[in-house]
Amino acid sequence: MSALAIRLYRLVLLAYPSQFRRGFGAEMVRLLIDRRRHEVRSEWRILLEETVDAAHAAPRMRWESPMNRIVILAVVGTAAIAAILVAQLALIPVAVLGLAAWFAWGRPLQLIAPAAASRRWVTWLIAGGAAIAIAIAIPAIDGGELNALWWTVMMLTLLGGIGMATTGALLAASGRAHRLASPHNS
Amino acid sequence: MGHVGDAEEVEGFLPLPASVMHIVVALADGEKHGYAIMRDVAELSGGAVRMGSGTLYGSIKRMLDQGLIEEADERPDPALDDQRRRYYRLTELGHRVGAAEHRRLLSLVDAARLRQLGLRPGGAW
Repeated sequence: MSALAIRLYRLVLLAYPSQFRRGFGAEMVRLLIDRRRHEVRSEWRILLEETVDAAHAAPRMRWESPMNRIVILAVVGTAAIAAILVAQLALIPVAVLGLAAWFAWGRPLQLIAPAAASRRWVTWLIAGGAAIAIAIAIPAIDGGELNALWWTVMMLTLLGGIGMATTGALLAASGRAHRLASPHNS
Repeated sequence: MGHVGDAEEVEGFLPLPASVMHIVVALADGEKHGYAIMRDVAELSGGAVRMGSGTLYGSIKRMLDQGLIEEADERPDPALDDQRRRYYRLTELGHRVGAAEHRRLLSLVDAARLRQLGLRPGGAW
């Protein structure tokens, strides 16, 4: 096995979780050399086969790791919050309708949440962000190996954080709608 | 009561994933290192199953975590072998789980035979 092929294979091994690599990386390189020694195949063919196998096996292993799973969930959660923040723009037409109703009937419409509650959106957003940060930090503190109790705590904290951040985003949208609907309040 | 608990413990592993059962069968006649397991699996399956190193060591890691296999301390022939290689062997639990999966597959094959699966064109009279 050429030094170049082994170096390339070590790059392929980076696709696997670091803990798995530490445990089995040297053996996998040893196995690659064994294959080259005993099989009637070119080293590039063997390297290609092992790369294809890594493309199947490595993502599955990464998903099995609680640490990676929480990062993926956090990214999805953040994307959901961003989508909600963007979606609040859709409330502008609602506010316009509210203004129209106010002019038509002489009183503002009740939008999403009371005006007083809407002013607390920053608190909800900060609390949600803090909870998500704590949820992400839990596996880092514990070295990525979570028992059932810590896994449950982490998931509840993450879900709570996403819920609070979502509430904050909705209240922010509600506050904007209030301001648009009631020009005298702003 | 102990037997019931043991049976439940074994049943909890079934059905075994195909890759795990192949490794169990490969290790049934003694300890082997990674490449020997890979070669044995390919031979036993007539070349139909070819495990890559990621699939093989991913399964080995899970089986070590589950207590189905363990690392063997001694080498079969230290003079002829690379000391850096690790050898694996079935644990007592691994033997029992393998035997239970063997029985499960046999009963499935018996059922297929009883219904003459593959012997009747179209699978129905």
